[in-house]
Amino acid sequence: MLKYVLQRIIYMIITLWVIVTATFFLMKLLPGNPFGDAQMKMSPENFAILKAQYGLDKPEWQQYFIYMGNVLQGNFGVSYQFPGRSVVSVIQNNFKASLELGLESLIFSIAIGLGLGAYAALKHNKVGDYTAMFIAIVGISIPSFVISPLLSLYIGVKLGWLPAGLWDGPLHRIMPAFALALGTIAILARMMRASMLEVSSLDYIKTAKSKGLSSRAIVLRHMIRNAILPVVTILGPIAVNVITGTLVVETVFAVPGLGSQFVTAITSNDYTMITGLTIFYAAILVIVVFLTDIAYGLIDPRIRLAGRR
Amino acid sequence: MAKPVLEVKDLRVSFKMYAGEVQAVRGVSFNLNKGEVLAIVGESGCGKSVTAQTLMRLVPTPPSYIKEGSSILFDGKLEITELTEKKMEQVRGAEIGMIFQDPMTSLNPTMTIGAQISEGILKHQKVGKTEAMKRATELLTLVGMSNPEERVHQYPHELSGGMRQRVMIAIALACNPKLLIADEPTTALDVTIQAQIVDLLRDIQKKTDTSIIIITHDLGVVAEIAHRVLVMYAGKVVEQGPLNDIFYNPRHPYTWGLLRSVPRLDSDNSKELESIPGSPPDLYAPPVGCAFAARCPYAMEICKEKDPAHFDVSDNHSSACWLMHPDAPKVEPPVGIGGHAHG
Repeated sequence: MLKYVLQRIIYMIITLWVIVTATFFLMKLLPGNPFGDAQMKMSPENFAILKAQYGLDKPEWQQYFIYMGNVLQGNFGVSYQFPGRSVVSVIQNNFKASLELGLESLIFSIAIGLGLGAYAALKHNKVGDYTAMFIAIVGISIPSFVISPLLSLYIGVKLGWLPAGLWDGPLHRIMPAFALALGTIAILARMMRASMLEVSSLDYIKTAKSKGLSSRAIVLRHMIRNAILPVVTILGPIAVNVITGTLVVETVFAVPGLGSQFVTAITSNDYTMITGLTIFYAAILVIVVFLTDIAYGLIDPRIRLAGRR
Repeated sequence: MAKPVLEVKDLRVSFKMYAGEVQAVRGVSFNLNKGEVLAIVGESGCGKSVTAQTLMRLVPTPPSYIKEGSSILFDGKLEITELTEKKMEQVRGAEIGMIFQDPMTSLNPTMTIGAQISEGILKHQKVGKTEAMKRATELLTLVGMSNPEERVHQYPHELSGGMRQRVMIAIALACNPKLLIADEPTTALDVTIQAQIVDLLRDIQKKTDTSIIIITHDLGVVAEIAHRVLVMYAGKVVEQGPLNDIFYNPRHPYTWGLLRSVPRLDSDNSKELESIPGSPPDLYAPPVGCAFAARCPYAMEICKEKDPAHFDVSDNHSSACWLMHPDAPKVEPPVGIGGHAHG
């Protein structure tokens, strides 16, 4: 097991290094520069001074090694668009809102997704099943950049039921969390349905019935509990997806999270922010996937053995 | 004589499938008296399990349904085929208990066995959780489990197959049912464990005077435990009678075939074990005459045209075979069948 964990940690470091390197050079391919566009009023002399100040006058391979050296010391550089703010402090300030939004949306997805899936399975091949699965298909087909503006416009602005944007109180959270949850709801609903259908044909359900339990008791006590097990194993990756996938939703609903910072960083060529945030998100993803793999290894002896070989 | 615990009359059960209707049970009638152990034997797919599970209405509807004219009278007053699902819940577990074939899959893996036993008690009796748990511990003692106080807190995966089947028996017995149905209770177990489970069922039957229906294709189990035997073939009863009559004076060629397929200690070792050639008929379209005719070495013309009625051999022994008709030619049972009656 220890060897397996060490192996995974090495893979993890390699993955992160590849991501950092790729992002660094891809970013340099972006047109423009952090200090403005072709019509800028800055004199070439001033421009050269600025470039030298940020170290952008050196060849790219040198910049890369300087940057990597800094990253290894935990220094992700200073933002270009907000001079004086380090990337680390931006993450510290803004990640809270993203994390909250992600977690709230995750709670939404789990509650609605599992409920919808269980309901569909109980109404197998009846109208309820088809309705629930239709909702799931719609949920998975409509991307959040479509549903978010629609929600904000109709429920937020036209009907005025919920605030159209910003991040002040509990009411502000409902629409962004829901918009973000929609795709996950659909995935969880489909998985839960399949899992419930599988469990419902197992022998111990017949045993439960032979004890004289009502269908309600059988579903609650015997089916759901067992059907949830396989769904739980995919919750790790799904959680990462939801927490790091807040970009669009945050921008539409003007949530002061990390996602909207990311979007502005890209549009303004804020090199240090782009690489810093990419590394941060990638690290979250890689670490959670690593933890999930470790958990699988503990649960399933077959995976444990495969790791040993 | 007291009223029978169970009177089954002309039970017919079919499954509606895409390809048509499968007539799984085609007119089964029998009675079961108090304290009696009835064995239902036959090959796989002859309708034994469907019959047993229909007695508790455990076969899901749809696709299965009980046909018009069928009757299952329980305890002289409850017509099982007509009860509402709500009423049926009060019968299941309380009046009739059931033991299933595979103890490895018949227990919920995420519940302690104590919880699984007490669940039925809590449903049917007005007792609290602690009392139900105490009863579960007593039941585990009754079914011969060591350390019952510890076992109630264990999960199924911590127990062996034999122990799990004991738990299943405890679940079935939880509310002192009048009838216990055991659907192939030993098939999935090791041979040594099989014997223990059969002994246990026999002891419990003696202690509690419960009536038992045991479904099996193991004639050894039948000889150990049954008072009366029902031989089923292609959804019908072909022969029924007391244990000794079936073993020592069988009248149906199918019963002969079954008995000859069992290895015997006193048989000639050089000979190959007999088997019944062919396989049971397709129940999508059951044959017009006797369902066994196609595989029967004694089949006559009439067997293929008309289904035989039940001919009485004695008061409580009958066989559905044209050979029993007074006009039929005299046929001697094959060597090794009958004539060994010990009592």
